[in-house]
Amino acid sequence: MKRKIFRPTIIYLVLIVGLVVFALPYVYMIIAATQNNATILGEKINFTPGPYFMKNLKEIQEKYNYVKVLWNSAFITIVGTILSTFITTLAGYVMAKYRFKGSNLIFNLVMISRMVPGFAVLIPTFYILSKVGLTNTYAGVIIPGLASTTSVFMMRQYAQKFPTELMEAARIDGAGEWTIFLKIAMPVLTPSIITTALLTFMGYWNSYLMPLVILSDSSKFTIPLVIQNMTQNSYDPLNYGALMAILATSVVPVVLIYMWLQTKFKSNGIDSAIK
Amino acid sequence: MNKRRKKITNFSKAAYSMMLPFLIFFIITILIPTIMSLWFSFSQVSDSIDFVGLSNFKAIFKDPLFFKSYYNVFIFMFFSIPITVLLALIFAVLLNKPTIKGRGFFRTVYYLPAVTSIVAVSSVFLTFYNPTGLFNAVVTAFGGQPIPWLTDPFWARVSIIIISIWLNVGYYTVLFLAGLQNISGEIYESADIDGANSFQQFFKITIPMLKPVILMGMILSTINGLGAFEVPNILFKNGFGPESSAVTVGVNLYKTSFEMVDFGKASAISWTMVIVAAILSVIQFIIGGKDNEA
Amino acid sequence: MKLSKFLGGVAVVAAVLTLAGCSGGTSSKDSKSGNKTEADLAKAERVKTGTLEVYAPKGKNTDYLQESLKIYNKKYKTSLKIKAVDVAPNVPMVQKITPKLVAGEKMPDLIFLQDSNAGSIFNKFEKNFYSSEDYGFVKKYGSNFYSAKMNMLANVAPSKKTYGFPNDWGNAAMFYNDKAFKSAGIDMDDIKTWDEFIEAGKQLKAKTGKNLLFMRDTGELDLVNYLTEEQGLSMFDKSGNLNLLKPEVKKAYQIIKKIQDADLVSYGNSKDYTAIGQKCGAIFAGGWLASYQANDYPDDSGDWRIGKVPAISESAKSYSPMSGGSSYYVPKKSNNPTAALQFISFALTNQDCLASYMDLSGLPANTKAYDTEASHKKFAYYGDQEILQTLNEISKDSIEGYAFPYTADLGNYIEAASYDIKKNGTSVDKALQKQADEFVAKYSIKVNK
Repeated sequence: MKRKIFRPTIIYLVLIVGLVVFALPYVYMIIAATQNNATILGEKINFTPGPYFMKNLKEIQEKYNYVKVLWNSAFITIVGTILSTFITTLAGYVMAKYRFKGSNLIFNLVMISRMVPGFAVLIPTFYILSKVGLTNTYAGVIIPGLASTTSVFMMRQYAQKFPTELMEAARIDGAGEWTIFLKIAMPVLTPSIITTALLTFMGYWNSYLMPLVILSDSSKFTIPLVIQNMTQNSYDPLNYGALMAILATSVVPVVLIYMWLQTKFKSNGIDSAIK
Repeated sequence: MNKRRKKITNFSKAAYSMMLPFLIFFIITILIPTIMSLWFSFSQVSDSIDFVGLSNFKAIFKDPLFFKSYYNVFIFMFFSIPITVLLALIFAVLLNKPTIKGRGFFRTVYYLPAVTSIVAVSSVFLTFYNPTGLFNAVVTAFGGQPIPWLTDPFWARVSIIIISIWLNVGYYTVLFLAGLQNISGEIYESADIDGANSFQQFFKITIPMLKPVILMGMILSTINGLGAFEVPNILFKNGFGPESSAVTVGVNLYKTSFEMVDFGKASAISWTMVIVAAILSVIQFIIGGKDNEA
Repeated sequence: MKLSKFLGGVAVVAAVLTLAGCSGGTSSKDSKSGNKTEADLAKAERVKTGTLEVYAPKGKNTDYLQESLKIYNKKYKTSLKIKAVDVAPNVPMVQKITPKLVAGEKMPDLIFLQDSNAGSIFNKFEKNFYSSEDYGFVKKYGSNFYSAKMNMLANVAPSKKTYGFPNDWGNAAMFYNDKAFKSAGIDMDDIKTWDEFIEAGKQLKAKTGKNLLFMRDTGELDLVNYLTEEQGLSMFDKSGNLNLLKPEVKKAYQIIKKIQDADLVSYGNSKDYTAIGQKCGAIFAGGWLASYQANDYPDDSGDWRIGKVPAISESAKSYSPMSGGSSYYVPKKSNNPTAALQFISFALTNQDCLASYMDLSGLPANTKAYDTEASHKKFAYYGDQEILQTLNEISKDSIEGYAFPYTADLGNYIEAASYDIKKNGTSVDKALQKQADEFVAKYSIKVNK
């Protein structure tokens, strides 16, 4: 490829401008977590770190038991992500590789339900969960996210690239369908599975409405609930530094996990989603 | 893809057993609730559910805000999607050059907005949009007048469009990069021989080759945009914005659900969204043709 | 139709699943547990033990409940406990409780609800709560509370029966930078009417450069409400019809225009209104601002005072505009409704409990609170003013208003009208007419002329 559209310096300049634009809000989040109200609400935006980081952390720990909150979020997110990813990988793989009675119907139902907004199904979902006694449990928060239609859709796209010849060869060797999936398909699809898992992870980590209606025990609360309780409480003054400390400590770890997975698996995933 | 389809095997029993876990949860937590919400849209919802026929739909169609909310979403999409696509194409083409160092790092940072909470991002942007915030500091540094970001109907829309571009460019960049990697170098080489310059190649080869990907992304963004409510809710205390310029269908749905506590009407609004989204998907299918199935 | 019956209908699908299959039908049995009437409960013996589950925003309100419970347990030799669940007021509280109400799920024993949200909840779920009126609370203690508060609660439910246990109440007051006005040669004690206030504002600006007050860049809202309510007109009448086209509203816009024409306004986004107001001569807000101001702008300590909003005219009676308040509600389907009713009746009427609320910077709706020593606390931030007494005096003149499910939404329409008038130069009549038309179309109500 010898297309010399731009000189390298210009390319780097454009890319670096992009870098600054995309990284800035994260940088500001971290800096503001070290400031107090006077600085954050002050006349001009201030990018110098202040001395209040520990004080802000201490406040959110004392007021909201933040370590427990982080643990709750982590538990729900990790368990939910593992289960959901396994279930949806299976389903996506089957939808891509098998034809059976009703497979079209299922696919169409999945596609239609992707268009129904979450608010619309909140009350019915809560109703069902309450009938099976799952309110105020972690399971009640995890279960509604398990059958993620987006993940199934993505996994179906990925799995279509998985060569059917491999399956046929394995069958000739006498392997069962489950063995083929677990021993051959899963390893081949790992980068795609990681990508799907990452989006599911984000979904659980940031989910607000389900935990709000399901969890009735402050000791089970998750990070988005605490953020809402802080910002929406019109009865007590808000410490913006403490809020930023929560934002920073909840966003940055996820960003780091993402970057780590990136280097580990190279592929960015949605890559292979679109053929 | 079509050829592969035909080779699909017929091991129904194993297939059913592998589908089962998903199906169970899909039916309980998605399918039944979806059917219930359809039923809600014809009902008055309190501690009992009473059938009221079409009156919820009649009520929402009587409200000028309902149409305004659709209008706003389409305005947002009309401007934000082309800009997002263009920026993402530029980044993708640049990042596709093997000679560029640190491509993985750039790509990762660009993709970050797609994996962070919209609430967190909007809260930070809110401080940037302050009259004396970061954006106006930049504008005035270049000799411009401070911009009334959140308080003028025109700029309020611009503010929302900026955030949605910021949120989506990285996602599209990665999407296009994958598409670009599928375009063989030979096509460009023969174009070089034919004497096409870089810009001609970009418009004559790159864009047409990426058409299905671009189309899919556009339709998905529009469907997501219909339901979006976090950004306007955080930027504007009431989600309305000046002259209700920021009201999205999602904001209207949110308010009807949790301020009015009218779940019948809210479900009716939701189902208008489903219908619009379905129409858009059909359009995508027609324009995109077979090669873009699903 | 009960949801459970519908579930039976889709059982064809659900039959595959034992999980959903055995789920139907439990709700109707449970809901009978709340069959005791309020009168029965009023006669019930004092509950000695148990845990009260409370949904309330964490902070002064939960601290107050815990404090009150200590006093209560000591007095009645009970050993009740409170399990407070932190739920932000306003929309999150509504989001939290409505799914439970629809599903017939077990509720907490006490719910903290803002009066502005109560209308939409009670429009749909009146049957699911115990009435404070039937319980005898209103008859026994109602006259101790601000009449505007009791009037508000009496009009929350469609049946016009009172359900809420009145917690706090606020009216709009004028917070003003006394030091700045003094330096411009103005004694704010002499300022009684808006005309005088505007003149004072001109002098303030000339001497100190400070603007008089904040208005929304997106179209003013609060001042329209305040100025209208001062004249004794609420934006809705008792039956829920709209008063937006009444002459009082137009009068309000005249005064606003006068202030704008005199160039005394700092415009900004509503979220910055206290920050911008802090640099102006005056801020109009509910008493809640007192604790925020001291917290966010400690450097201005001693400069500010609190007073009544200036009157429209010297002759007519001037009402205090409403700012908002909250109340507690007891759902029928809870574990300990009897204990909850007994405890909350005590907490809201016992002077020691009320004093502890005021110590936490709460503003009780119970006027008996303002007889306590705690209510005479001097606030250094306000030059040792006894602000709780000031706010109490203001609330005594409160306008009587109503909360309907669509009350909060009207604000968006008023803002749009104000924007139209200021930015597009539309006449007040025309702008209001346009918004009123849209609003009544949306909610199928009438507009009063």
